Amino acid sequence: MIKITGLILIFLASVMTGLFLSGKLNEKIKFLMSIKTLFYYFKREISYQAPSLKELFSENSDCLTVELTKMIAEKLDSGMSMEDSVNFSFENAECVKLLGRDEERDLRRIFSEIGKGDFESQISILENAVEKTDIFIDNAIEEKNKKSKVCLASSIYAGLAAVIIFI
Amino acid sequence: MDKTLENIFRPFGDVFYNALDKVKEDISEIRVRCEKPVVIYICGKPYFLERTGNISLPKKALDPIIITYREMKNIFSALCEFSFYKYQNNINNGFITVKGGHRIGVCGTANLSDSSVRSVSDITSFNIRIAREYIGCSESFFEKVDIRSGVLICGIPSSGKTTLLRDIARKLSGVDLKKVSVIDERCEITSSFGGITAFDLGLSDIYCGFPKEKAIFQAIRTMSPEVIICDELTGNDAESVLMTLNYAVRLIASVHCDSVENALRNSSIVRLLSTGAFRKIVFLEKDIPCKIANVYDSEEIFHD
Repeated sequence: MIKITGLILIFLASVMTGLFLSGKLNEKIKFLMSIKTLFYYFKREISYQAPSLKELFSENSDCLTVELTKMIAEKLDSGMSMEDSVNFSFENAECVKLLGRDEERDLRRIFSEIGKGDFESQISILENAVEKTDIFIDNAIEEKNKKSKVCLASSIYAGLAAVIIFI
Repeated sequence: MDKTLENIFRPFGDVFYNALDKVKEDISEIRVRCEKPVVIYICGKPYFLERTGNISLPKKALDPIIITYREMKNIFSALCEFSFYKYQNNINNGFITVKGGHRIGVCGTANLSDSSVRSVSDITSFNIRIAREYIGCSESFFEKVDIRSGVLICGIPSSGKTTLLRDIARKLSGVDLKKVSVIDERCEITSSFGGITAFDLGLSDIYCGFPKEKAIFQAIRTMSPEVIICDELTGNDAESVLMTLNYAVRLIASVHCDSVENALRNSSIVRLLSTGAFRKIVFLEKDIPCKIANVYDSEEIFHD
């Protein structure tokens, strides 16, 4: 009885771990997709309206990235430089915690570059940012697939072991 | 403090901010030069700001605050709202206009492409001119000048030409209910942000940032104005000026000039006057902003 309970627990634990990790990665992929949409929005607004960065960040209403952009806008409004505002917001925004270290570093650098150059350079920075985000999304999807395969395999093995022992 | 002035003073740091806050009503200009003391013009006189926060005459200043290149870059970047792309065209033309209509003149190194300025790098100095609104400053203008025909307002820089034009627009459109179009190529008269003007311009229709010839053409064709108000005309605008005459629209405009003699020596002003669109020429006092020194009839000047 104890053996069976233990095996069921192992089975459930591996399934739960798989679900948890895949949920986290799903959230991360959704967040990265929102960041990509944000870059498109920036590109469109800069092309047609050329608003200031404060307006640009404060007018974003995407629910996944709004925490980050509102924080940057607030810091800009308080007189902080763009670089400091970005650093502060990346350190404090909860949504950024979904990202890996490399992704966070690269996105932080991209955000800090916005506003520093002329119109053409802004557009090319944002185009590169979209490409970079695409790579992050692809990597995250690949990681998710890999992890879900591992979890699936381990839960199958645990289930099989349970069946063999039970027989 | 007025939010627009706060936006300008804040990037200079706390010492500056607190010192400038005390004299905010009287500041006309702030001149920032790389590795040099910042010069603050209060009631037309230059002052230095000391590290202690005191404002002293240049000769009496013991330890004036010197702005480094890095600090200057940061201040300028903050004045541009960290959004250079927004001000790129203006910077290439040597100035930016920030919220509140305050104009910042920029000096630096021009990077040319096909003989036009592509960008300005290594900014060496900039000059912040604080815009003011004096409601009612045009009263003497309306007493002394017959505005049934075009009027050309002449004055040296900082003589109050733009301030006077602003009040004329407010009075004509808001009080006299005339159809007035304001052509504001440099966004200085109106300082319009988000469709709302920083200054009271009555019921004027505003063309902000448009090249003058385009805006005058559009205004005449679409807004049926009785009066067009326009800042800082040059000889190149003569054709547009002539168009207002052809469409029977009165034009009230300003030019940089200090005297009749210099006006007649200036080919741009002669071109503008020879269109016949300006019947009256108003000269402003050099020392007292917005005060009328003389009013001339353009025919009388040409005849003499």
